[in-house]
Parts: sequence; structure tokens; C-alpha cells
Amino acid sequence: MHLDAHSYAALLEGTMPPEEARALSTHLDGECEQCEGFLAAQSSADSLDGVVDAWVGRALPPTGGQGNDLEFARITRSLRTARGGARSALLAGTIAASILVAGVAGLVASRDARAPTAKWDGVKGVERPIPVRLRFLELTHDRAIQKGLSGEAVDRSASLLFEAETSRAAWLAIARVSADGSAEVVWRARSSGGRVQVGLGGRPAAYPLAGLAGPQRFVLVASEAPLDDLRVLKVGRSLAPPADLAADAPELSGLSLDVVELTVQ
Amino acid sequence: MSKDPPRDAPGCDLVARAVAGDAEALRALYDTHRPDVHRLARGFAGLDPDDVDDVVQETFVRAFRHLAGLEHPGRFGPWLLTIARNRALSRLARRRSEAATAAEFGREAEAHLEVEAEPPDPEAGLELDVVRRVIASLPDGPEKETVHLFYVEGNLSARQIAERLGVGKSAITMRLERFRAKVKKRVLAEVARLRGEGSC
Repeated sequence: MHLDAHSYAALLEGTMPPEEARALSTHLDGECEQCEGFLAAQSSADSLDGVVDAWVGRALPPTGGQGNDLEFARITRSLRTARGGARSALLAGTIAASILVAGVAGLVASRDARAPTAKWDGVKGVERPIPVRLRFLELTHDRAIQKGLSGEAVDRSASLLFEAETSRAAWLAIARVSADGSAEVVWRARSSGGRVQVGLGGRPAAYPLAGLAGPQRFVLVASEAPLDDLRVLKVGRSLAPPADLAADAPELSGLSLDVVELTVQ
Repeated sequence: MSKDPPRDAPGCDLVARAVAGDAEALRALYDTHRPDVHRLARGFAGLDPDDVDDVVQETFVRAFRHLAGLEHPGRFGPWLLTIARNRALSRLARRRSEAATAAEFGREAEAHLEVEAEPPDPEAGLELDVVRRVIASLPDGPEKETVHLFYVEGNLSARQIAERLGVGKSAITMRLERFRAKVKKRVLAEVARLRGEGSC
């Protein structure tokens, strides 16, 4: 006897007669490609899948994937709101028609763009570094928006829409640095915590890649103290690609960083 | 429905405290189970690192929202992983089809049924033997290599393994799913044995 939808459901629901269950148990203890194929082809997970994954997890514990304050805070924030979703706010807020494509000067001039008003309460203590995350969307020359992935190549006709996230109030800056060490401050803002879209005058603003070529790093810097351009540029230059991101250079002391790396072509 | 007692007493306590609003218990559940959820999501090569993070987050949000309805608190782990798998599959389905809304609603409904349809959880301690036997029984070749890289070495995601081995992402996901199907078949054999003994 082979597994099929009927016998599988009967087994899980406990409605299979004991003698049939014993026969099936003996069969499943042996090799059967047909039954394995049936199980591998299931398109959604049921309660037995959870048991299987838990078994695998107990037998072969994961070697990484520990939690972090930023993610936990995001989870608790989502629990308090009607609708969660890691990316929804960014996507919802970035309708192509409303996006500005701003030069560096414009972006740096903006302050506290769309900073959320919710008070941060997910992290205890003030000594630890501020958890930060930098994500982005790609705005193509024909105004289409697609998800941005660090490490990928991007066409120079595109612009980037950044979103910075911090676990609590912080001074933020984004620096861009090329492989030759040339750097610029792309954006600075004071955030009260949570997600902040890089914007101008309350509207999302995209950073144009025109004129750039080769590997570029966009470095989000967060600090409890105000950040000046000189310091942000110094940090950016110390992380010019392919520098080690785990560098313990003195200029990184007391700062939290996240980096997006792209190759402009 | 199973009459098994809850297996994980500390887990039961944490769930009870979390339901009562204890934020530290919520954090402890997150810290304890996050690595398993993260690995599960990383096993789908079609998900990029951001997707994986989103699946992890959505899984915990969903689980914590429905925590009070969890009938067997000692089975929080398997329940959470079922949610995680459905979140990952939903995300992949959304990628594949513009008409994913219906599938999304379908899986939402299934997630509510997960606890009620809980199968018997075979004896603790058996899993180590079963999982290792399944790995040992894999013939030398790409599937065994993939399983070893993902589950035993554990440093690479399915996506990274695809890049390293120079094969398609779907091929890696399929190899890992075939391995899981072998483990699932053995788990199912145990469930059938318990049903056959009339113990549940």
C-alpha cells in the first residue's frame, strides 16, 4: 500500500483502522520512492511538517540564526499594529509617481524625514550599540520599482530608495564610497527610532546612480551623538570596497553600521 | 486528536507566561526558536536574504498573535515551524504567480487548523537516530553533498549552496525537500505504528 491523500489524511486524523496503520507503518519503514515522492510534492505545510522540522532541528541543531534586538522590536511593533510586515511600509510609501530623484545636496539637507512617532520600547539598556538596518528599492529608468539586493549589479540609469531602521533614537547618516576611496555623504537625519525613508520634504527621494561605475558601498552610520560630515566621510573611506566590514578601526568606535554593496554598470 | 501530555515543560511555562503578557517570555521564545525558523527559511533557495528575514518576522508575528489559541503549549516548536514553512511557501507562491491572493487566504485557513490536527509526536530521543539514519542511507552524490552542506556544516543557505555548486536554485531546494520527505516518511511510519498500537 502506498501513501495517497486519503490514507495520509486518515493517518493524521486518527481515523485509519489499526491494522491498516500497522501495515502502513511497516511499508513506510522501508524504501519507497513513490511514497517519498508523494510527501515531497505536498504544496503546503501541515502539522506533521512541523514535527519533522522539529526533529531535524533537535538532531542537527542550526549553527547560526540567533535573534537580534532590531528584529524582535519589529515583531513586537507589528503585534501592536493592525497589520505587520517587514517591507510593507517601505513599499506602500514608495509609489513611483511620488518619488523625487534628488541630488546629494537635497538629501543631506533633509532632516528627520518621516520619522515614526512611536516610542521605542524593545531594547533595554543604553550601552549596547544601536541595532541598525539599511534596505533599498531600485527605481529603474522607466519608473518601475524592484527590490534591491545587496551584492548585485545595478544599471547606472537606476536610482535607489533607501530605508534606514534603528532600534531607538539615533543620529543617522548614509555615506557612499567607491573602490577608489572617493566618498560622499548621501543623507543625514535624526531619527526617533523605527523606520525612516530617505526623503526630501516629506516625500521619498531616490539617489541617482548616474555617473558612478564599479563597486559602491552605501554605509548607514548610527550614533547616539550628532554626526558631522567629516566623521561620516572618514567612516565611509575606511570601508571602501573591498575593505573588511568587520574592521575594528578607531573611527568606527561607538558607531553602529550596516552596509549595502552594489556594482554599478 | 492526541492525548499526549505536553513534552516540553519549560516551553509550556514560557508560552503560558507569554500569553499572560510577559514580554521576557516572548523574547525567550523568540531567542530559543529563531535559529530553527531561520534555517527552515534559508532552505528555500528561491528566497533571498531579505525574504528569509521577512519570513522569520512574519512567522513570529503570526505565532505570537495566535499564541493564546495554542492547544498544546509543549508543542509550540513544531507549530511555529509549520507556520514558518507556510509563510515561506506563500512567499514563493507569490513570486510565481500574480494570482497568489487566493493561495494566501487558503494557507491562512490551514494555519488555524494546524493545532487541531496535531498528530502524535513520537518518542523524544528517536529523532536523532532517525535523522542520522536517513543521512547515512543517502547514496554518495549531489543530494548527500547538499544535505551535508546545509544541515551538517550549516553555514550556507540553500541559495549560497546553489551558487557554490553551480546549479539552479530550484535543484537545491528539491534536494533538501527530498531529504525532508525521507525523514517525514520515517516520522509517518512512527505515527502509523502508534496508531496501530491504538495508543493515540
